[in-house]
Amino acid sequence: MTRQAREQFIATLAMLLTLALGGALVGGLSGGLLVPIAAVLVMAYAKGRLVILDFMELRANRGFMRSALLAWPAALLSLALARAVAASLIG
Amino acid sequence: MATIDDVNIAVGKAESGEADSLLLWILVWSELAAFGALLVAFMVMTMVDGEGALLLRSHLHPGLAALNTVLLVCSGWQAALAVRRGEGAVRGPLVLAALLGLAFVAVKAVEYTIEIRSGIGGAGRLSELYFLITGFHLLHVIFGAGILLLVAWRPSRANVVMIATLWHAIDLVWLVMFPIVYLT
Repeated sequence: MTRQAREQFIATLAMLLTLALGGALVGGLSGGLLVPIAAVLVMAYAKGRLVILDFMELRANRGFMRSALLAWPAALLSLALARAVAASLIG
Repeated sequence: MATIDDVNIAVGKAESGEADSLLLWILVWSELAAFGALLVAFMVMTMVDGEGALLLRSHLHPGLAALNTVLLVCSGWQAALAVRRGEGAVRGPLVLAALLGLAFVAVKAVEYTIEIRSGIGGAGRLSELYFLITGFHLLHVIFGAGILLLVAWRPSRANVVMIATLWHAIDLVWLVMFPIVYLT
């Protein structure tokens, strides 16, 4: 592994840990409000994206597998967001 | 009807590792499909049974789940490091990935103990679904950690790539499950 690749690899871990702790903090303080919940879900997608692109080494891949893998967390987290929106509208 | 050429092509693909790769992705997608269905069921159930959802959330411990997220992310990072190192020096990262996975299991066991003692069963079917989803994932972590140790014992390039990819899929499932079950 080159030095640049190693630094990028460590940066990915740092971003993942920051997102994990930030997501837990925001989620814990959200109090059921819609905006923090949306932020938590976006952070979860960002974590999933980093795992797929950098840990699974699909960043350079432009094929179907990369798109399908990225679509999996996007679909589930969008559904979670729709649920939160519906819950806030219904009250 | 298969011709000799078809058989030769299949044998060639198998020898070049393409068949292994296909099998791996079939396995990954079967996991993602199963957990996707379970998580959709959980979201539907929380919409249908609002009171049960509130009761369930009052028994959950997002702090312990956040700790588990950190453990699994670090474990996945070690597995990815093993793939990048190629043939040499993969044992250390693989063993560390497995140990972090087992630490995840220990934290989850503590969390289950606290939740059961606090009476999470009162949430009814939602609590059953919660244990089904997180327990199924926990079994994957235990199984994956065991395979990581086995591969660390006798490492080969193909096996390292295979278990690391599966481990990342287990990691991805947790990253999506965590906000859906604990935070939203």
